[in-house]
Amino acid sequence: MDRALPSAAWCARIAGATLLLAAMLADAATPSELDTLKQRIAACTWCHGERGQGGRNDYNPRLEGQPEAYLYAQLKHYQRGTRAYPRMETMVRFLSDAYLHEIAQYFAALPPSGQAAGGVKVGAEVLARGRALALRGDAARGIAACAACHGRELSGVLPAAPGIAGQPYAYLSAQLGAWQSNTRRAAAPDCMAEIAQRLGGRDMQAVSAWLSTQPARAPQSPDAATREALSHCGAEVTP
Amino acid sequence: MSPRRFRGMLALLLAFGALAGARAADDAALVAKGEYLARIGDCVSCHTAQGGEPFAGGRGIPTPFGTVYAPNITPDRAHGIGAWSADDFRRALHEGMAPGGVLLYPAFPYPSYTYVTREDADAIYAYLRTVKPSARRNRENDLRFPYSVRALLLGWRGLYFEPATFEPDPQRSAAWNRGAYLVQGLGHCAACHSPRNAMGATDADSRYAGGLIPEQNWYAPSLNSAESGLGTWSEDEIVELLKTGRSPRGATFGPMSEVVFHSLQYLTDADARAIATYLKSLPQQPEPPSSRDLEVAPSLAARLMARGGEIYGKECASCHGDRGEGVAGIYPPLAGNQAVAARVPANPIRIVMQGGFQVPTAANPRPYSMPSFADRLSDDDVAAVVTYVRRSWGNQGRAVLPDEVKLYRSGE
Repeated sequence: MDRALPSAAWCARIAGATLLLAAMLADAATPSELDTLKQRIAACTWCHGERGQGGRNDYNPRLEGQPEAYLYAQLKHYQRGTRAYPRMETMVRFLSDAYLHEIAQYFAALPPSGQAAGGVKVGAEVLARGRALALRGDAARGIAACAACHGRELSGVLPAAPGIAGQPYAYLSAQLGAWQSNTRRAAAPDCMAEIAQRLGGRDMQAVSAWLSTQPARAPQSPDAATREALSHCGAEVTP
Repeated sequence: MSPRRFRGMLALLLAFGALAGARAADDAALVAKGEYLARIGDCVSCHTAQGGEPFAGGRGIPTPFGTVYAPNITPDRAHGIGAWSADDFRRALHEGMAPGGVLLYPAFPYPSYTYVTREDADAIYAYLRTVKPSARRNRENDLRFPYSVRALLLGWRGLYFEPATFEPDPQRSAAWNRGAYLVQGLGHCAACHSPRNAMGATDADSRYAGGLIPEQNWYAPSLNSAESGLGTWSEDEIVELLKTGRSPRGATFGPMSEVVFHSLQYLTDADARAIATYLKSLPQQPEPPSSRDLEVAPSLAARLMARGGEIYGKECASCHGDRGEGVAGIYPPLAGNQAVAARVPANPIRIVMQGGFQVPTAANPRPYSMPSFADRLSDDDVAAVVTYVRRSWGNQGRAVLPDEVKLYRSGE
């Protein structure tokens, strides 16, 4: 029997089909919508909010727009056990520095909500006392104003001072307690520890309450006065 | 110096130089081998405190008898093992005894390490001499009386320990023997995957039958029973799990993730396959009876299933699928996942409550994560959803009671 050799046209058709198939396969292999950082870090947003706004309970802090260096330092603190919170320590335990940077960048880049978490009902008098402490401090007792380092709007100062406005009351008061009892620490001179030790229980309640009612905004660049104030404190050393 | 003598001297010097060079290459090879073996032994895991220097010790190992603090094994002479000889090091692995005849607590898994060959012990010793010395002081163990009395270990050893050497089985392949050596020796798999008796010992009859890891409340599944063991796994699936923490059959979590992170991901392909070959060959045992098995009234089980189905649809199905099928390479399947349906329900309860990231490995450097549901779901709801995944899509685990959830919640 006579077998015809494949014609040039056939060859071209086969080549075309092959190219088409290859293109289809390549298309199928493009990253699916699952392959996003947001999808990978579902455990983070579950507790800290879809947009990093905090929430789901009265405690979990907001992360959106916080200074990236601050967020990264906290993740490393949890990993090394220098900031204690078992659930977070377990979460980040084995994650690489590169991945932690990526996660910190992700939340730092999210726009602040402009909302206030609140979380406590106190009288106007207490709020006024909290506001005074936050904005002016108490020079007689050696208590610096929160605003001196965390910015006029308490929204944080780059590169590493966190925004404290709009955080949940329970979170803020727990952090002040942790600074006071030295379970949360910074490099010496540890300004936060010194300030927290000079605060009484009612001061902490008042300042946490007032801060929790303030809107969450984006951190600012340091002005000369803030830079001067921060220069007296041990920087947040990235562990 | 006569030219002849000079040439002679030169030749001698060159010969010494060559010898020294060869010696240095040998040393480097020995250290590299020791580093690999130390990884397979997962030494760094226990001998490093959270945030501490590698091998500098200080991590507390919780036991039913109190906490044992792993010592500094860096080459620091005062606080580490810098003053130990290779013989001392071998004796610690093989006989569970430190210099001066100090008996070691079996939180150090010498009932397994006893099988490590002298040659491999020497390589690990050579490697440990090269790690950065740390002056971290050892922490006293915090054991209750009478367990705090080291001399009592003499009695324990009389009952449960005898130094042994690994005897290869000439009837089996080289790969099988390599796998057996690694599993029984450095890998110390039996330390977690076997039940422990009241004195904290494992015994040969129940080896690899699975066990709840004391004080940690994670269940290390059986490696040799049809229901929860590896009998139905392919070698490829076992190799993939060991090296990446993921597999089509499920992913690692809890302590096994730690083992993958520090140790198993570094296995050579040949060693990973050897381990799989050996594990697959373990004689299959019937499921051991468990005092934790309990009957759940059918009406209660039905209620848990109904509520569990609602929660599953709302909270779990978007990742794990309507039929528990998961997403290949991303979200582990729950259908047919032995960890979900295991006899002891500790693992699924704890995973639902604490969530977490899959273990990052070279193969999976940006792992996916599961949220923590501890705050979101009550004990009743956790029991319901865990019951649902244990009894759906062909899974045949028993129902889980809210009281059991409470038990593990406190230890979260």
